[in-house]
Amino acid sequence: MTRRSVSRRALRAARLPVFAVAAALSAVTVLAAESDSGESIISARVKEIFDFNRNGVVKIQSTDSHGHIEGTGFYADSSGTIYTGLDVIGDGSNITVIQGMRKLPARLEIADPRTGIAIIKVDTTTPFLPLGDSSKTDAYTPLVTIGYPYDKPAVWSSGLVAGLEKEYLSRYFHTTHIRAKLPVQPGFGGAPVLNLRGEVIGIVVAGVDENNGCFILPINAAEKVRTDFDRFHQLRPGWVGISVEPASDNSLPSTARITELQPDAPATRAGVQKGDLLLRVGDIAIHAPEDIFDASFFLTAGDETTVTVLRDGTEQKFTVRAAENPSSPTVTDESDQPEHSILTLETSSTMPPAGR
Amino acid sequence: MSEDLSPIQKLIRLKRYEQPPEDYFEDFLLEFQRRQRAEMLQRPAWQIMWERANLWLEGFRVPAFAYASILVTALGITGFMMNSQSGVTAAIANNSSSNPAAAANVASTGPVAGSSVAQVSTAPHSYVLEKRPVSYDAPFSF
Repeated sequence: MTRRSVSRRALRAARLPVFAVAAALSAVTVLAAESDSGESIISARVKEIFDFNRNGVVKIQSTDSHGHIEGTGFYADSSGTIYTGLDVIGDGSNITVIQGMRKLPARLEIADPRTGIAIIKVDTTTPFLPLGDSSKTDAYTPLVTIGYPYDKPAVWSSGLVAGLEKEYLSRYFHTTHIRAKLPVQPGFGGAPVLNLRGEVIGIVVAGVDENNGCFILPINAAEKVRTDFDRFHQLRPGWVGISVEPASDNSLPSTARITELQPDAPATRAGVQKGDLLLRVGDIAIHAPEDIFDASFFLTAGDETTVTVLRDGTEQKFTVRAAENPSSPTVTDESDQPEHSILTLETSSTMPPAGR
Repeated sequence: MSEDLSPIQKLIRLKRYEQPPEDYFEDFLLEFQRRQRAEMLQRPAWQIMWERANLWLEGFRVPAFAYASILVTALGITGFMMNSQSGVTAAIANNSSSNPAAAANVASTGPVAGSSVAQVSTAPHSYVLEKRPVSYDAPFSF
């Protein structure tokens, strides 16, 4: 065995530990990355959503007879349209939007006590949050919200959708709300709620369970309010004149049996009859009497919709042009400017007193 | 000389009749491998792995600096990944620490400080969050 061959063998032997250490480090890195990847992805995504959208989320200041009010709002388009909570706007006369270091005066466009939201506007070009489709939201959907708690800067909170609710404490919503296990704090009223794609799917309207959870108005419902305002400069809830009660036969596709039709109401004129089972109104399927609230909410006075009923075992469709409800809601223009309107409902509501 | 060789010649002649059984050569290889495995099992596993890795690496004929490059690359990737992961955590921690309210938000099961109706002690500001959503005693009619 020559000296050269001995040195080559020694060199090879020296390489092996180096290679082994490198391989071990790589393996440890890959394993560590894989085991932590789920949490890291969610954390990174929440941070991305917060960083990307925080400039579109603003603090709202206003006043009422009790003093100063602060809450959260967010830009829904680049022309300065802001969604916020109904009670964030105070009496609607002195609203200021704080966007970073800027203070912008805002005017009330519409306030909707049915949903607990308001739309205000600043006259400038603004960043805005992308709006999603809340109808695709289901239980366990991850959520992120951004709001201004107390006198603090914007912070985020994250959680999951717990369910979709049609009522709260045995009283019905005007439209289905999202119930979320999403911690919120005072000042989060009107805050946007986003999915992990970074799209707004709702607006925080109330904190429950000691603020460890909240109720969220779906953005599709908020957009219905905004569309009404854009089209008519007021809310235009539709009415067809149908009353339903639960049917006793649970084997039927719907338990919403029509028990009363208002004389000369749109549904009566279209041919809907007492005793029909209500199956569908427009795009909204009716399985139970409480489903009519969603159907009613998305009706617009003056628009046509299709009412599908089950009569004598066969489905029948009727085209109905919704009208304004002749009794319940009255639209009151509380401002000198015609586009500033506030809808006042005569039905008894559980609007919390001052709520602040 | 010829006398000295005679015993050997006798032995060789005897060997002509001392032949192994017919299946000896057929089982030879299997027996050899069995004994080889039995021998290996008596050695520790790391020794076997080490020997095999040495044999495997000998076939590459790769210069020594290549191994150094692999080590440096692995260390670099490790450092980068650990740094990037700690960066995200630090950013979230910064958000929470700069905004104490956010710290409460991170723990989704923890109680959130304050009530829905909050008043800062001296300032007359109210921070809005309704305690319950708007709901109605509504009839089933529309």
